[in-house]
Amino acid sequence: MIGPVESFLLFLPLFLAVNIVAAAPGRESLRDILRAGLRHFVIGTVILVAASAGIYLLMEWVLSRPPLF
Amino acid sequence: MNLGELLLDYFWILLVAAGAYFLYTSNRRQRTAVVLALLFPGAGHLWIGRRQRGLLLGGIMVALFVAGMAMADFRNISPFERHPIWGIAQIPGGLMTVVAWLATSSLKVVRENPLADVGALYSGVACLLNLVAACDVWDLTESPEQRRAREARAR
Repeated sequence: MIGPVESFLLFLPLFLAVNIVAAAPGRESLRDILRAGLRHFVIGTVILVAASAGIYLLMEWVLSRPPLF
Repeated sequence: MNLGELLLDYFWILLVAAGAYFLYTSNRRQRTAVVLALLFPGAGHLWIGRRQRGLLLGGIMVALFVAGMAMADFRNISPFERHPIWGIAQIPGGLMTVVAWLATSSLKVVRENPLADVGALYSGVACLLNLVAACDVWDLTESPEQRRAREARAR
């Protein structure tokens, strides 16, 4: 079983590769592809980390509350 | 019947439908380029003369595929034995998948590997990205008539 840090580190190269390949259709130059792919990778990672942290904190709060019934 | 069995039994219908649509809407150059792209990552781009693009996309996909195999002890390409569901994801890899499967079919799982699922994910995603590359090749080999028809539909 791998830990959360290892999971995140293993996710990064995969996400970068997906974003670069997905940026290819509709773009002519390789520079544009790499630039767009990298941009999507950075923004996507930030959103994922922020959303994961937000959900984690929300669930921590929800679980700390006494049950309704 | 669970979702896995449904996928295995009926995804062939989607495959045939996609193939029929492709044959109906594509020109001869597109058909050759897309078939080459699905045969091996980057081959379609190389055939139409987009060498750098083919090497970049093909290189990324092959590297991802091999990295996945290395993480999984080279035991993750086993569509008929261990991984029929992953096998569906690995089909678009074409010859890359077939060669990997033939080369590693005699290997057996002898230890618990915590990275086995990650390796299967890497290789599966690499093969699925080949579908994106095939779509890119399809766009690049569009004829002027097809482009005009597409732009007319968009207006």
